[in-house]
Amino acid sequence: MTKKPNIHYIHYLSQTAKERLVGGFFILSLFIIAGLVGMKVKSSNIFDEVITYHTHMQSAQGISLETLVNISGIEAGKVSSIEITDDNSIHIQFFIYKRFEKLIRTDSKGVLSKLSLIGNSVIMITAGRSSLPLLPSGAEIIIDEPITTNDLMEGMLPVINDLDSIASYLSDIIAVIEPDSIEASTESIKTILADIEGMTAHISSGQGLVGKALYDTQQAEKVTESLNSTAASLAGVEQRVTEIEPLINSLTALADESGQLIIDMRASLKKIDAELEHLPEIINNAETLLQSTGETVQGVQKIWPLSTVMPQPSKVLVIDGDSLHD
Amino acid sequence: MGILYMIKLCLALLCIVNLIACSSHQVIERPYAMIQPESMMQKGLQVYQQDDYLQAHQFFTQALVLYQSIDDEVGQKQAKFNLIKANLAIHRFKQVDTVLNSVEETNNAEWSLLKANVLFAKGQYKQAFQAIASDLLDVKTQVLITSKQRNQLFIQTKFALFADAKESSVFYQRLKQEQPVFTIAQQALFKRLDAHYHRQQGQPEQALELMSMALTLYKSQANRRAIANCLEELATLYQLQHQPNKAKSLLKRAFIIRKWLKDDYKMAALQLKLKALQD
Repeated sequence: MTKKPNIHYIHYLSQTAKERLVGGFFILSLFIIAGLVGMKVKSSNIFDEVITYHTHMQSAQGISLETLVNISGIEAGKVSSIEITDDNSIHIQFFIYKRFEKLIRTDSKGVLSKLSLIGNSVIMITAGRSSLPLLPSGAEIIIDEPITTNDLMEGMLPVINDLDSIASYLSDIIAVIEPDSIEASTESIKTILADIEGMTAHISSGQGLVGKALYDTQQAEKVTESLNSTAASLAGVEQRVTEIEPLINSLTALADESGQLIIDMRASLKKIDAELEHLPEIINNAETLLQSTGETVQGVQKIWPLSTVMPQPSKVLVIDGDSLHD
Repeated sequence: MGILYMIKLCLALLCIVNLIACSSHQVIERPYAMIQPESMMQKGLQVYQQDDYLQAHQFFTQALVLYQSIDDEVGQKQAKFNLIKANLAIHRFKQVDTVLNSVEETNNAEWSLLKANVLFAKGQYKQAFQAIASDLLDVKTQVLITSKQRNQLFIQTKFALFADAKESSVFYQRLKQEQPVFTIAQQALFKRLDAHYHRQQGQPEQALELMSMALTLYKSQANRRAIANCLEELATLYQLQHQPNKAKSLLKRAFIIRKWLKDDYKMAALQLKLKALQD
C-alpha cells in the first residue's frame, strides 16, 4: 500500500472541488449575514402591532420622532408624530407595542425626563393599577412638562444682573482710582514747574544773586520765555505719555500673544510636515490595497457559483476579422 | 456581545473566502509581469471596439514594451498585429509600414491576409488580390461550414470585385448561394458587394438600391467605418448617375464620421473629392 505524502488535503482536491469548497464557505457566510439581518429586524420590532396614544404639551423641547416611550423603565414605544395645533400647543402622538397594553390604565400618567433639557428626552409613563380599566387606543395621556431652558434662564437672570452690577461697580472704582493718581502726579509736576517759573521770574526781575550777577533784564526775559515754553512742552509731553501708556501695554500684551501664536504655528507646521512625509507612503499603501482588492474581486468572480453567473474576461488578445467591412 | 461575536466570525469567514479565492485560481498565481501586458492588450481591444483607435494604439504600444521586457516573442507578435490593425483602421500607413517591417516571420495565412488588407486599404486592389491568391477557397468543391470560412469567401470576393478579376463572378455566385445563413453584418457586406457587382454589370439603379440597403444594415450595427465606406461608395454611384448634389451630401456625412474616427488620411481624401465636386 502506497503511503500518501504528508501534505495538506487541499492539494489532493481537484480545481472544481476547491471552487465548490470556497463557494460553500461563501454561501455559509451569506446565510450568517442573512441570519444577523433577520435578528436585527426582530429586535427592532418593525413588524410588532402597536397602540397609539396622544398628548398635548406647551413645549416640545427635546422631543423628536426618535424619542422613546418608557413604561416603568421598560422601552415600550416611540413618538410617531409632532404637530402644532390651532391654539399653538404641541400635539404629540406616540405608540406603544401591543404587548405593553395591559400596563396602560386610566390612571396612567406621563412625565418627560429631566434630560430633555440637554436634548436626550424620554417620555416616561407610569404603569396603572391593574384594578382599573385599560386605556383605549387613541386616548390622551397627560404628560407633565419639565423645566424648560427659558424657565431656567429666567431663574438665572437676577444672578446675571447682580454680576453685571458688580462689574459696573468695579469699573467705576477703577475709573476713580487711576485718573486720580495720574492727576496727582501731573499736579506735582505742575507745582514743580510753577516753582521753576517763579524762580525764573525772580531772576528775570533781577532779584536774587544769580539774576543780578549773570543776566541783564532783556536776557532774563528771554530765558523766562524759554522756560515757560519748556514748561508748557513738558506738560504736553506728560499728557501724551499718559495717553500712550495703555497703548504700549496693549502692544506688549499683543507681542506676547503673537510670540505664543508663532510658537503654536511652528508646532503645527512641524506636525503637518511630519504628516506630509508619510503621504507618499500612504498613497503607495492605498495603491497596493486597491490593487489587492481588484485581484480579490477578480478572484471571487472566478469562484463557483459566481463563476457560473459572472461573465469571464475574454482570453482573446488579437483583433479578429474586423477589416472585412473596410 | 453575541451579535458582535457573530459579526467577527462572519468577517473572518469572508477573509478566508477571499484568501482562498486569491490562492486557488491559476490566473492570480501567474506573475504580474505576465498579466500586465495582457491587461494592456485587453484594454486596447476594448477601446478598439469603441472605435478609439489612437487610444488603442497607445495601449498596444505599452503592451509591446511590456512583452519586450519579459522577452515574450509571441506576445510581441500579437501586440504588433494589433498595432497594425489599429493604425490601419484610420489609414495611418506610415505607422503600419513601420510595424510591419519590424515583424520577421510573416509567412502564415493570418499575416498574409493582414498584408493584403494593408494593400487593399492603400487602394492597390490587384496586389491585394494577388497577396491572397495562394490561400483562396475552392468555391466549386469546398463546403463552407464555419463563419470563418464564409468570411474567407467574402474577402476573396471583395478583393476580386475591386480588382476587377475574372474570378469575381464565380466567387459572387458562390457567395449568393450562402446568403440564407448570413449574419446581419454579413448580409450588409453581401448587399454592398452585390451593389458593386451590379455596377460592373451596368445596372446602376439596382446598385444604388443595394448600396442603400447595405447602409441601412450597417447603421443597425452602428459600424462607423463601414457606414463611412458605404456613404462614400454610394456617393460614387450617385456621381456616376450625374447627381453631384446627392453625392456631395453623402460625402459630407462620411467626412463627419471620419473626423470622429480621427482618420486624417480619409478626411483629406474626402476634402479633395468635395472640392472636385464643387468645381
